[in-house]
Amino acid sequence: MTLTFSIVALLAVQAGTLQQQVIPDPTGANGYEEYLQAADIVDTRQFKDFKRWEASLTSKPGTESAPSGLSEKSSALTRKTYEANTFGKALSLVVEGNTKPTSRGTKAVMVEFSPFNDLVKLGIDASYVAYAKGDWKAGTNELLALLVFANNVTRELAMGYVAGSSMTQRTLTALDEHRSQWTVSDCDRIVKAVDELLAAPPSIIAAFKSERSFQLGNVDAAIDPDKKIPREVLDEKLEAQIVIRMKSLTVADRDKVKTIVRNKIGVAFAAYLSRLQKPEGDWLDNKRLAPTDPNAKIPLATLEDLADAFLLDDLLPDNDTVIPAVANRNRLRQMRLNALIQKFRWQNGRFPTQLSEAASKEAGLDPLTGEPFQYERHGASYRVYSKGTAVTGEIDLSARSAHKK
Amino acid sequence: MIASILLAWSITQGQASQGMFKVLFPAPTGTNGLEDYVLATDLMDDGFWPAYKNWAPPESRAESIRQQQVYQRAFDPSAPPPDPKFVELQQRLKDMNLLQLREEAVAAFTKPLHLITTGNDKPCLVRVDNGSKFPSVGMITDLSLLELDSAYVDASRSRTDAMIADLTNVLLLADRTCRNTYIGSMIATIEQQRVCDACAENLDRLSVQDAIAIETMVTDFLQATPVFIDAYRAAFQSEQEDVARSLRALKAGSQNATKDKQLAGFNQVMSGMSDPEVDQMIQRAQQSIGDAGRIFLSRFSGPEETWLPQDAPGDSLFSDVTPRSPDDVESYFVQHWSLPEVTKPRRLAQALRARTLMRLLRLHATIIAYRWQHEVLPKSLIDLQLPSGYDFDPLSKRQFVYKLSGDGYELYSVGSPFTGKIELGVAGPSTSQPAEINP
Repeated sequence: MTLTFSIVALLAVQAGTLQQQVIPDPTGANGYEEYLQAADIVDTRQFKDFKRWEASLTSKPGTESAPSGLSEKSSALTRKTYEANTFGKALSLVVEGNTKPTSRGTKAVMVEFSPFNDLVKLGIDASYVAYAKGDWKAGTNELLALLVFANNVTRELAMGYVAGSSMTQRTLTALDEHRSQWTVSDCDRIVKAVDELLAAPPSIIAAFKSERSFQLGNVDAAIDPDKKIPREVLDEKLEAQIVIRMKSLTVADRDKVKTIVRNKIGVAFAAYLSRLQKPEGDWLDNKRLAPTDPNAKIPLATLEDLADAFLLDDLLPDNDTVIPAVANRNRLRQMRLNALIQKFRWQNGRFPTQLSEAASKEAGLDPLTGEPFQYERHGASYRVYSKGTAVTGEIDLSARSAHKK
Repeated sequence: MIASILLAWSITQGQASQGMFKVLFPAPTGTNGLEDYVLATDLMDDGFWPAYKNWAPPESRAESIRQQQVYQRAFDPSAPPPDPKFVELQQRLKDMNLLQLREEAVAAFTKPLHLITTGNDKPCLVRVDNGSKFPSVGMITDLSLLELDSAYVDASRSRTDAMIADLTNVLLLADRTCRNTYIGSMIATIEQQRVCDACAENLDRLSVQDAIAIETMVTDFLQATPVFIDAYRAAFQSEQEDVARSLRALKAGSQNATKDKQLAGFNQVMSGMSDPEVDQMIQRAQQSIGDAGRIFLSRFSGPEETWLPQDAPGDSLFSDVTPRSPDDVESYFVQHWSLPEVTKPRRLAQALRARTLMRLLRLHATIIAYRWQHEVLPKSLIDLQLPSGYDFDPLSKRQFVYKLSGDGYELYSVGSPFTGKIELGVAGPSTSQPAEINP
């Protein structure tokens, strides 16, 4: 991630709204502009103060001043209601953004992903308020809108992929927590939303392609001996070695390093983009591939070694990178099954005894294992999950049982 | 839509079958809830309702249909072929799932549903016609079933406020119609349990406002005089009338005594008595029954926890409802009535169990409101800051038990020796079935 983090670190100090920084020339036809406008609403002192105060209630009560109208005695529902009422406009913008095509472009400044996470928190809290008020439709709609938003963010570069995957999982978990509140029409809307998300080209492919372009486009800027680029992960010894070696290179050798780096980036992405064209069950190498990150050796004797050092902790795709995409697509399928099961329950006054009673063979198939999803009855409840693979471990919608390696 | 066809049919059929309403109320007053209930029942007597009640889920449908055919042939081999419309309707219903079926019933019977609501707003004046009491048990259970179906449909559409209104209607219907006979109060107990079951199914779907509405519903229910108390009173009065009728029948020799040697002996004794002597005997018998009733009913003027002593004999009678008389004949009658069965402690325990379920429902609703407010479950019932008495179960004479368990919680009453542990949504002992009672 060196290249990505380095450029971000250099440019993040730029002033202006998030939209001005990321899409300085808005067209009005790009939903990502609305996402950024929404992010600007939560990227404010007011929201940050609210968040800090809320967090302090459990960690350090009394250390932060309460927003107007709230106090330490305010219940969680009161706090969330304040949050939804005060910042709810941001969620309307997200919904509006979802109606348009979205693309962030490859601006190196990546300041929006942290506020995007805040938008998910806001959306989950707003849905909680809606459910608490008995407005199940609004609660479910809010979470479905967040799913589309998170999926669109997942398409944008490696940073977006990481952030969007986390946002997707959090939203799915929140939606699952309310599954007993779904109406029949909620179930239908969830099935439709999941169908659409799964039918669209997988967001990981777009993320890999955009990240490849981004990394290739930034090789020249990153491999510049005159720039002191702060590196997030490299140790000082290696950092010093890189600087010494770079200054000793001729222009021709420096170009050779750039070429080697470009080639390695191209090869790494090409291998995984090729794999992502296969059926979903073949996306992961279940024997766990050897890391594709180069192995830097000190001293950096050859140009190859130097190139490897540059790529050391860059986000090149590997097996682990693919896991969030595989796991979230699997969770989406589980969400669809939950919706079908809840609908079956309304229609028949009982849970299905077997998954096949509620879901088609196709919907019940777990592409990771090639077998039907696991369905277990537990008294008045049930559990749906995937046995997963050696690499992923069991996968289910609960945050507690996120994939185990 | 089938609903519109059914509605049209129900109106035309209803007009034809409004006989019960017309017979019972040739000059309706509009102030008697019974008029609304009877009219509602007439409107439901249209072919759809029987077909609806005969519906069976797919897994047991074949067996259900087979049994219907067997019964039909067995009981009425010469019956005319069923109305083709009815057959077509049955075929359509057969292809529906439970939710569709309930939606159709609710759509077809909006007027009866409305009539239940209007009836519940009025006093229900009982009618006796040709020895039949109205409202009948079948009428009450059909109307309740329709309301419960409406509650299910409302819940499936996230209209939990309407669901609670439907369930409140079930409670009110039982409250208005079941106070006059003991069998009625058994029905009321069952309907109260059904309301609790329906709420148990939907606890996770309750909003904060729903929880408050349920709390109100239960509190209103608990503050009203329990149906079974009035039913006991009615039963004692009814027995006083019955004993007079029976003794006069013995005197007249019209009592069928051929199979009962003792009764035949009494018949002989009574035929030798003068009319004033019989009247005196009736008076004494009625006095004896009345005294027993007053003593028995006096228990309900005390605190609820004293209504059912824990050491009461399970399958025996309460000692205060066994009247005694120096006269053999009269003693025979006052001891061979139907009341002793209904005044067994385990019978009273079933009615009290329903009240405990309602109290549990109120606590669940309060816990759910707390969980919405605080995003966590209360650590103990103390966290709920409950009004006085909310956490006390008079049946077990103990606090309700509340425990956090995994991601959820357990809430129950330890119950009584007659009921065992009592939990919302968990079936109780089968003794609550009214079929065991001799009315």
